[in-house]
Amino acid sequence: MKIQFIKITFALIFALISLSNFGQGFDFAPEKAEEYKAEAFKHFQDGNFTEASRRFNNLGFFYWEKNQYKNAIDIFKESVKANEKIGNINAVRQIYNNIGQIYFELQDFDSSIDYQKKGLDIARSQKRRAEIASSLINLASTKTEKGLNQKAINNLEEALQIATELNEMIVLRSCYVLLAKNYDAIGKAEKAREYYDLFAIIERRIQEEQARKTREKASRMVEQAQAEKQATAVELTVRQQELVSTRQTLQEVEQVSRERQLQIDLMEQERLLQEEQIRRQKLLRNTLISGSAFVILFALVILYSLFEKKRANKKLAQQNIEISQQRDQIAIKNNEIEHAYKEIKWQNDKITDSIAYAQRIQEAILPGEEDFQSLFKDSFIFFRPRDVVSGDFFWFRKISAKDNPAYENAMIVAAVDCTGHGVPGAFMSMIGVNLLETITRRGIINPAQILNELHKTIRKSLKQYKNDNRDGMEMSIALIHDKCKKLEFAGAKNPLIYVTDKKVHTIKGDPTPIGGLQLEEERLFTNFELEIKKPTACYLFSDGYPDQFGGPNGDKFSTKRLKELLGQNNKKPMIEQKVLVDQEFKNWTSDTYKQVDDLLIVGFRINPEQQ
Amino acid sequence: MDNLSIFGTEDSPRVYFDAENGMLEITGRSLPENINVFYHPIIDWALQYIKNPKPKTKIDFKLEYLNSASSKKILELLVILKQLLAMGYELEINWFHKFEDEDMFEEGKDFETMTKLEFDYYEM
Repeated sequence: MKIQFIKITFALIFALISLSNFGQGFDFAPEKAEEYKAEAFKHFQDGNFTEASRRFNNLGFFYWEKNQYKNAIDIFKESVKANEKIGNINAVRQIYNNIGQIYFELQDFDSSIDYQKKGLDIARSQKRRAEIASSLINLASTKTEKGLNQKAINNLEEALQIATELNEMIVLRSCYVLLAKNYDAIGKAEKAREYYDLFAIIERRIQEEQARKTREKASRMVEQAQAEKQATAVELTVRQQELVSTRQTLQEVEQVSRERQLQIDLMEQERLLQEEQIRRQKLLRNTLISGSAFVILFALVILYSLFEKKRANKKLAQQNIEISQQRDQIAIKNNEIEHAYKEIKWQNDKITDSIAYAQRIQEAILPGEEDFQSLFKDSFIFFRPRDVVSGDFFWFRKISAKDNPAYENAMIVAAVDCTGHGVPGAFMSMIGVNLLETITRRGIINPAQILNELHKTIRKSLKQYKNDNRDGMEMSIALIHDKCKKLEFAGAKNPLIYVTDKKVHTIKGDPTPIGGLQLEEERLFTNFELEIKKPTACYLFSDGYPDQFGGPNGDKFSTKRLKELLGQNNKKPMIEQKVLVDQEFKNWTSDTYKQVDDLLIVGFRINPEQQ
Repeated sequence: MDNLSIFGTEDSPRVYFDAENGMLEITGRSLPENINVFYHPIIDWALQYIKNPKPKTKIDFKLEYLNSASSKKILELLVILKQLLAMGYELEINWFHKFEDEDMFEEGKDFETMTKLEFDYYEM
């Protein structure tokens, strides 16, 4: 998902850079292109370098668009020559960037880096910081492709400094995303995440900025619409006034017409003059009629434009409404988001409190290190749950006569790793502790038999013979009896390591776990017996520690390395060994790698002579 | 039937099951938070595949990390594929482990013991 993000960002960066360099979009038929090229060279020879470089550039983009990369590069190089003649280093810089990019598209990263470097040098000589930053980013992205991650990071850090000073958010974003990609490539997961978070923050800010600009644009449109509406209203008033004055003129004209009619009646005797007058009056009347016709037409035109204005107004009013609606919707969405955030935070707090409470219960049920040390004076329990509650647990017990008289004072020690960690693991651990108590109290103290019994009971309790539940546990369990002269062991996927006289031994146990899928008819675990003649340091552990990622290459710690560590330190007092185990873990993960699973190592020394 | 292709992440492996050629591959780390959700399509695909398999099926495991829950799912997958042998088809299982990763090599051996299938071992 992250990778998709980065690829798209890359594409955008290059698209933006390319677009800034595109502009002309000349298109030629092949013969015309040759002609044009010849013209360009002729201008160069005649000393018209500006003209020459203009043509070279057009040709260069043309070839580039047609994917004739080699031609494009050659022509751009010619343009460089021309621009150098007229001392236009700015153009030279841009052309170097173009060439660099073409090489990049050709996947010739070495050449690409060469030319991008040239462009960077020019930007530095011009002391143009924005150009320096974008050249650095170009360089870094090419180096990233080539796998020169550390070098890319160096470039990016310089670019980052400049971008921060200039407060260019788009440039910052490019820096963050590339830094994240490079740190990821060299395995520094924590730093990669740091930069990816920064990228996410700035991405959000850029989007907020854009949203703000959109809102501004929207409100400007509203203002404009309102201004237009005002203008229309003013026009309307003016027109109305004109209409009124026109009507007045009309009334006056009618008045005159009536007076004329009276004159015609009075001068009836003077026929010739009257006829002449009538003719004149008729002419006048016609003029008046056509005049009023024009006026009516005029009025109709005004009515029409009034109608149009009304329609335009309606449309503007509608747009107004739409824009306010959108504004309201945005406000509502904002509210919803805030509300959702508050609710999620509240839920999270409740869950955290609940788990903290569960942890206190788990702590109360599990036995403590001090109690263990009263059974085995020289011992330690290294226990680091991954989350607050744990799927790993340790368990031990001294057998009483009531449990099993033949084994009175024998001691049982177990290190258990339940499926899952956190809450589901903690559930299983409660079941496990309870079962170990009841099984041993029934007198079953042989390690293999304890495992057999546990396996059967877990399968039955979780109804694994008829559903697909696969939960269970991996464990190692040891029985120490006969005044520490005998040790018996059984393991479900987890081993026992013991050290005598600096020699490290391993008893692997069975590869099958407790619970889960059972392929064989009946699952029976193997019991191992050891005679203890000298002081022996014994260790039981879960797979959390050996499987931890870390070190210089992000490898697993491995059982082999753990055996070496315990073997080296086994003569030291157990409480000191615990500190060393803890230190080794911190060095291995060196704050870069997070703890993957619960950690549990139990160490105890048995000495047959001291009992 | 369709091929199955699942992207790899920090916590879950890349899976590519090619039904056309009977070639299955699981690569990377397996410690997804919700084991059943992740492995459900994989188990389902396998169940479908054995209804109409190719004459020879090859599966490559190139794993760097297997948490306990994932081990159980891999076991389930192997049990399903084991049925191909009973039906008379060929099954080749290649277990890769990183150079010097003895624990992963041992895991392969354990699976071999539990399923009674034959594994070929390689370093990567």
